[in-house]
Amino acid sequence: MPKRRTVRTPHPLFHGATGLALLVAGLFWLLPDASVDAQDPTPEPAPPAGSTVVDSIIEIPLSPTGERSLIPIAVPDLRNLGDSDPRGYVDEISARTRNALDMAGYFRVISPDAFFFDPDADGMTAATINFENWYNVGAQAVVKMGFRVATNQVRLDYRLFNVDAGEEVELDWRPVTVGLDEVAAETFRFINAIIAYYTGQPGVFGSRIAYAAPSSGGGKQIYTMQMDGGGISAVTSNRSLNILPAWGPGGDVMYTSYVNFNPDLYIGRNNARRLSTRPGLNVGAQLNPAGDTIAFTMTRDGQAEIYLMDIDGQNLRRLTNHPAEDVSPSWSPDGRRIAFVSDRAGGPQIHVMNADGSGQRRVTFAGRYNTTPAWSPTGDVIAFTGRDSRNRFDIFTVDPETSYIERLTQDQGQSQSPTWSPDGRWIAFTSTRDGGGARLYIMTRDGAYQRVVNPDVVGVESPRWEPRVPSSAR
Amino acid sequence: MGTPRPLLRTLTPIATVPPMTVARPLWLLLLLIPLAACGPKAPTDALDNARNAVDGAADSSRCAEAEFRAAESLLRQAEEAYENRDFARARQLAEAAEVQAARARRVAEENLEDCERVESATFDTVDDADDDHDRGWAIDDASLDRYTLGPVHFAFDSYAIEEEARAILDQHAQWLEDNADRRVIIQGHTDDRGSSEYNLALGERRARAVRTYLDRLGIAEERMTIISFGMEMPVGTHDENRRVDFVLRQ
Repeated sequence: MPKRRTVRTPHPLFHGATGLALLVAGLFWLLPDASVDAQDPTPEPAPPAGSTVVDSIIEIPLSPTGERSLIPIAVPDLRNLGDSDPRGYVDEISARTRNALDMAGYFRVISPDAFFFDPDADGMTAATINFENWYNVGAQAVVKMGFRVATNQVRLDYRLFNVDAGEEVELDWRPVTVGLDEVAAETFRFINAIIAYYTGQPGVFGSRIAYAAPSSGGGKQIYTMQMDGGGISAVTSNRSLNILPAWGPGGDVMYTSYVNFNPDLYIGRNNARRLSTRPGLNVGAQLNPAGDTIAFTMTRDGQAEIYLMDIDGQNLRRLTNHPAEDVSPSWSPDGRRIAFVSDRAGGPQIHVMNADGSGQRRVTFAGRYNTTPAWSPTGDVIAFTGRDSRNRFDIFTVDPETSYIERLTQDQGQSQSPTWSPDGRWIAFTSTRDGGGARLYIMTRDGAYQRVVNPDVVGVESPRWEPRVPSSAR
Repeated sequence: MGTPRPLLRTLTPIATVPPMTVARPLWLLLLLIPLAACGPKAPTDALDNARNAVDGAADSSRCAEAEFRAAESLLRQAEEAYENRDFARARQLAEAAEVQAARARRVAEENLEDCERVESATFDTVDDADDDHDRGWAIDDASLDRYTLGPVHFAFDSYAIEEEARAILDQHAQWLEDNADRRVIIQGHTDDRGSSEYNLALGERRARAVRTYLDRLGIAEERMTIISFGMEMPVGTHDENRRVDFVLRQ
């Protein structure tokens, strides 16, 4: 039974800009700044580029956490404004929108079961919405979403309303007509705009995470999944081993495949193109931020060394030259440095070097087995997998300048292979915490808020987050 | 240039069950023989069961090639042991053959759909490899005694060849010397803990260490190819997984 509350009219103070400003102040007061760690002796990192220009009204910390108070938001079902729904948008898009807003870390999505009235009695404009109803289910914001299918196009009319103010919120998103296949992607752009309104920086929903997983038909295949856990798509479909995906030029996936009986580097669906096929390992590719150079590992010279090549596979340059194993290159966001793993000190440890191979130095000095470095998009830390003294694998970050280490996961199964969201707010990783194999999880960059991405996908390995959000087709 | 059939055949063990799933129990069986050697009777029943099981699994030879060939190989060895009146060994091999035949049927059933799809589609793309990419991996039927050379094992994060591994490698070197027409693929593996990429490097280092060791014992380097599978093909416990396997070819 929906709970019926005493009907209250919004306080007259809560109107227009004053109301919003008070709301801002209230939120700011309520929300502890989770990014400040009492034990952290290093200065607060500079916010990511672009975030200082806050064009939203509400200013809240960039790092979402599960511990502060969340904005209660109501998302009634997607409404069919026409008469056909050939793809079942009502169910799919309603569920994915609620799930994504819940996942975003800033909102408490109010269960539709709590709606004691018919949401469809509302119109799509401020004048035709009964805000008292939404106020009485505890919503501060309500999302109204409608669609109309006409031949092969869909008109999407999505809006966000401030309940207290009784007004539509102006978003960096406008109603649009898209193709039948673009509805989910466009919905994510709308959600990203909602996140931008509340935080000053758009969300990254719609970006994909590539990973390797065993396939039911044998072998191990490369897949991509959208950040919300939906939109799973196979990159490879052979019966061989396909491992270590990464994002290449043009949003194509690079990976290592044994399909030709050597761990060779490929790019594109179904082993479309070979990038490097020297005898021995051709693994661990990562595209530089400028998008013109690939760092990767080969063993053609007798042990694993890190090389660069152009994106067409030409112009090979060797960066490391050491009898130890050097693997897992990860570019700094300015493209001037590369983090990597080397066991030149005994066990594997995180090192950094300049992009021309000079200035190689060790960064991690704690633990005996530190691997899979991932340089944050904000540049200030490198996330990695460390094996602690109890032989458990967990996710840590290290400051490459001070070697200061912070732990992000603990006592939740084996957590491995961190990868950053394009905006640096999130880290995706694999963990065995829910049993039965490794699943994909995301957490905020301070580790305060962690959740599974898709509980149904098991056996996930080597996730890599797409470095940018696909831009609008418009 | 390889042909599609041999490619499928060689791909199967990579994608499903590594060859040493067979070799390991066999190797363990060898250790058990002295314990079971006291007065066993002729295992005709076990042999009959094994023959029936292998015959019954013949259909699985297409979609579970490696598993079926392994069952056949075990049966053949069981028959040889029987003829040599080594009844204890014959019984154990026959029982292993029966288990392996059942396994082949199960794998074939699991793989059927994918295997048919792959045969019709994917191998077109695999098979377009130019000559310099065909590394001559096609294994013909004559190489089915690839199960002859057992694995050697390693310590965690180590590629040092220990005393026990040396003894095994010395025997392998002798066998390779006696069978000078055979070439060997040395497959490096790690346990499934840690980083995939680092483990690939470690697996290759193990394979290279074994090749160097055999080279010093006089086996020509041209006869030995190395490949690392890192943590991708576990066969059992961590201790069993940290290994180098040997696959023979002509």
